[in-house]
Amino acid sequence: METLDGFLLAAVRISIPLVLAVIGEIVVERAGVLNIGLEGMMLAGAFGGFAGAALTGSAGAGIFMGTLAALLFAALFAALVVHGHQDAIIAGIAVNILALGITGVLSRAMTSGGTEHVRVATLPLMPLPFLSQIPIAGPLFFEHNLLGYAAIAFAVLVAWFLTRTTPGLIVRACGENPESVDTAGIDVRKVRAAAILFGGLLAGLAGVYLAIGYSDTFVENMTAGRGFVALAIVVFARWNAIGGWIGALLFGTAMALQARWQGQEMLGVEIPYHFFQMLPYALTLLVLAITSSASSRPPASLGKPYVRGHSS
Amino acid sequence: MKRALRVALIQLALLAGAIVVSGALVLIAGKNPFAAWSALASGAFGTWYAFLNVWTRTCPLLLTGLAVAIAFRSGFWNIGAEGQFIVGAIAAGAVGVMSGIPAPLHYLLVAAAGFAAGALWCLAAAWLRFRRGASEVISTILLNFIAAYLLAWLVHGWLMQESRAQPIGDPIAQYLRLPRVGGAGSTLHAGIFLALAAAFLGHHFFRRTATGFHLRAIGANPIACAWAGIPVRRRIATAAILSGGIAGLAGVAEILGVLGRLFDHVSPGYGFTAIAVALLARLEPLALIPSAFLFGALDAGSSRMQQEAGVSGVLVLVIQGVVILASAASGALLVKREEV
Amino acid sequence: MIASREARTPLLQTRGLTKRFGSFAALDGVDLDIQPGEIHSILGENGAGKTTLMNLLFGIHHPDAGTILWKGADAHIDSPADARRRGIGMVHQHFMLAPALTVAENVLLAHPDRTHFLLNRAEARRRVLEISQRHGLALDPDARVETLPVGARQRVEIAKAIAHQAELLILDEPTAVLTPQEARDLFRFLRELRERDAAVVFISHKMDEVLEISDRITVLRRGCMAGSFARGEATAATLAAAVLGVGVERRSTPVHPKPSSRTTKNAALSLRGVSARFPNGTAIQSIELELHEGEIFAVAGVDGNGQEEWTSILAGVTALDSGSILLGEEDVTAKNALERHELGLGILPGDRARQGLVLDLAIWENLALRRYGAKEARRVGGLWIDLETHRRSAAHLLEAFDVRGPGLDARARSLSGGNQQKVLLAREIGRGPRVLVALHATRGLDIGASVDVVRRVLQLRDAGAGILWISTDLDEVLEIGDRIGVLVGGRLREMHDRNHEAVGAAMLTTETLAR
Repeated sequence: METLDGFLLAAVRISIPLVLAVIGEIVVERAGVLNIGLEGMMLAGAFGGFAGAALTGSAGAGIFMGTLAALLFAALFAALVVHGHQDAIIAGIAVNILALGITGVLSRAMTSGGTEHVRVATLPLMPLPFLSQIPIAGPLFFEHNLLGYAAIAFAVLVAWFLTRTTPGLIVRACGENPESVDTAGIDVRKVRAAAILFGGLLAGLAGVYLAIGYSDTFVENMTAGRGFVALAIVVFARWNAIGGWIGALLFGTAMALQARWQGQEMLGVEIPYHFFQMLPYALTLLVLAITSSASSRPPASLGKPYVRGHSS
Repeated sequence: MKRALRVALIQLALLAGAIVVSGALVLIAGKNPFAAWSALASGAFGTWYAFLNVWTRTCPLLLTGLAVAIAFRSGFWNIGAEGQFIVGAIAAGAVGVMSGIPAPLHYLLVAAAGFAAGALWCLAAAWLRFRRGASEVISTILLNFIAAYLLAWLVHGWLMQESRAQPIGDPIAQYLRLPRVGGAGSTLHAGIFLALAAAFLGHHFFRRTATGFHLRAIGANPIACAWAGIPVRRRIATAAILSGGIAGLAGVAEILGVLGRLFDHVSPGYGFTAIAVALLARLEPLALIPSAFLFGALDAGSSRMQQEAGVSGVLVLVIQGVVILASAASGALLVKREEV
Repeated sequence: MIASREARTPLLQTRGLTKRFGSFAALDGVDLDIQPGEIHSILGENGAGKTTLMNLLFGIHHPDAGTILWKGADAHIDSPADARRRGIGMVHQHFMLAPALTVAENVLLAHPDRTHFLLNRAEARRRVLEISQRHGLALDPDARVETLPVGARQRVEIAKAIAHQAELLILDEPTAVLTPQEARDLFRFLRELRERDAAVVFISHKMDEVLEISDRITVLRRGCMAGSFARGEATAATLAAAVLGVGVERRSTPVHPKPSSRTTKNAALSLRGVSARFPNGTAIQSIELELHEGEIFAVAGVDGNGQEEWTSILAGVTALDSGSILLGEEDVTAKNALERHELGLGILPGDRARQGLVLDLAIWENLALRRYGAKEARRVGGLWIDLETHRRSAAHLLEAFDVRGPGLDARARSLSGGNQQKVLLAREIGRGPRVLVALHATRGLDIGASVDVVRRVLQLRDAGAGILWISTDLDEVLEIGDRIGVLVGGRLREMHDRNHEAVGAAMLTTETLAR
């Protein structure tokens, strides 16, 4: 029982940054933009979180700095793709490379030996009174840090927002048929830019969690492809917020399995460490292979830049 | 000709801009950009052997850059040159240690294995796109990770050297090693000639072969190509095979020319730098040569820059990022991205 | 309540309205007066400036010179939202609907109530039902737009446009995609709007419709006003004269094709039971056709009845579900697009920019697109292509087809629409195919270019080729075809009675698009 509890808890904790990233990306893609730069924004968030906590000793400052860093990249991405009509794929790749480079340079500059050796303040756990005492389910759901609660809150919020509010309708319309939004007098570019910034915010929170919520330091390239896993989960979840939450939990479970099984024997055969490292990515690839394009239809205008009045 | 000159100037300007931006970053990090640049330059060109070393790094960049250019030109976003490089290297490291194969045949076998490994690695992503509608951007990136961990797994396990003292592979057969160029102290090997030849072949391919022409047309308008009877998916698959295969050969060349055996890491990110190389060259095979040389110099000088000026070698990534952005903005990409 | 018409202020006026794109004047000094309770048509050919005028009235573009007056006062219409606020509604030719959303959501989208954060779905449904009732639009608020047929989608667009008390409704080529029955329903709706004292601006290139519905007709030609007529003042002849600027008969191809003397009994193209289902719901249903050498089989039909789908089957781009296609004696059902072309099939696709040309490649490369790897261009055992072979042949073709403009190496994008179509034509018929399938061949072309295209196709026919001419322009079909057919709901029917009413009626038979 002990180990199962521990395992489930690890799964939930590992899934939190994925949940945040996925939810944010769902909003962005519903608005019609494919953000390949999600990985870079998460990394920026991670470094910002670390740096904020390291420089001030306060985890709260970490949250602030992390989201700021991610938002800067998101703003760059939005400017390029929405206003500059650049190809979103290229802009996203550039964001990833820039984030890797900038965080690398800055982290080395902060400490001569590399930041892995620096330990910083982490986000404190905030167990909900009474609820966290419930056996099994208590610690699982009601004993998280601020960002952990934020993850589930955002999932629910975004699900409600997209289907039940006017701005949510507008966002969805931008992804389906931006012309209809334009002639309603709303600036499609502004909506998409706002969606990208929101996605950046959540990506930043995801990164902050990685640095100071789940661990307590910054390692170069610590996002290790989670951003791309998140992109695949969005497809798997069919651009649905609650589905995204579930998908992220599933992947978190798979990643927890990886952590748990390293070096252990299964059926008498020693499973190598590297196999488990490979597992989340192979799994993601498998998901992509199984989810056929017919069953999972993306927003109609996803990935298509919007230029007003071109058909006259 | 005039147009080509103008374009070349634009690219130079954009490179200069990238350097300025990264210089600014260095300032923010509290270091001296000029010290960084001079350390970089002396690291790259300070000595004759350093200069040759730049060419050593140009070789894999040129080949992976060509791989990326072929794919991008066809509208196939192969971000997986890194992973294809790695599996090519794995194939070379595995086949290269086999015994009892006569030398010339062995050479061919190693090259074929490397090419095939890279080609398959890329073709997998093409399959996912055509059969499942999955973006090849995501799948090739995932395959990069898988390839890296696969290499680590093999080098710690099945392909670990006999003595099992360290997680590295057995050395490949001596006769497979590419001849050295430039004297005893040089790291440069004959693979550079292969790479240069490949660039010229690439140029010829796009202009004077039907397949190359078709790929260019598909990159510009795949739907019109389908209507004109060009077998679009088959051509893109060909592009994927060529692209992955060439990246795989880059890995083979690195094993045969530089490393001599498998290590835990065989690439400092050549496959990623290749994207910047390809875009700076605006996807033109001949222009890849100066572009790859430039990034090779940046790579070669970066360790010196780190030692002397205290600026992380990772700064080069910042230059890459800016080059990618600026190149795309200046119209390096003539390809449309319609799905067929 | 309604004062005498003459005494009222015009609802909308323009004075000297001008709009330029670069050095090209799309609209030049247009004066317009639109009264409330009037159906005012703007008539002109493609490129006459109708679209530009409409975009200016709806705030999509801004005028370079001249003024717009709304209810007597100077108005700068900044944007569609601004236009809407004033009470101008527009129904676009290409619908702006979000397919995955419902009718109610789409209508809501048109006038998003920014003061209310929460979607009031019940209210939206109620409003849609109310508008639907009042104007006889028959809309289901909860239906997803992607499930609706074309006529219904237009009604959704109309609902969007009038949901907020529009006083002026602009309709851009509204009948282009409607069956004759649906067009009649639309006219009924417009007249009813007129009774409510709203004004309607009806933009069209179809003279008979304009004559039927308008209280006033303004003719545009090359961006300028070419005539203004009240109801009863205009006849087809006077309108045609104004539209074309010449004393020409109403039809656009003054070619008067002679019936073919080269028709043989041999079948150039045979279709037997050709059927296919498409993902968008269209189904081509068991098409039978025997097209002879030296004849033109012209097929009319309302847009959206399977023309594009049928062409893509014939071209070899899409596979059949069942049936067979023969080119001459040879069964080509299993053959792909390239093989069919080799056997003598030429295709002019409906959308030349998307399906025909690769605009970013050079003109000579476009001409060589199908045949880049052809034997005669190969050298050294196929190792490389001799570019000169292709360039020479391209130069010949450009001359033979009288394509004016930039040289061989210019991008195809730089050509005018008419020249682009000529390049496409040259590519497809330059080597004298046995069969040509042409879809929308004269769409978007001005008179001169249209005439030229038709003339060359007639030459091809007279040389013994079989031509399948598919068009939405009934007059053109009737003029050109040696035999006439109608495509409705993916089914082909040959018409032996060539008169206008009979064929028009055939286009509205109730065979719906099978789903």
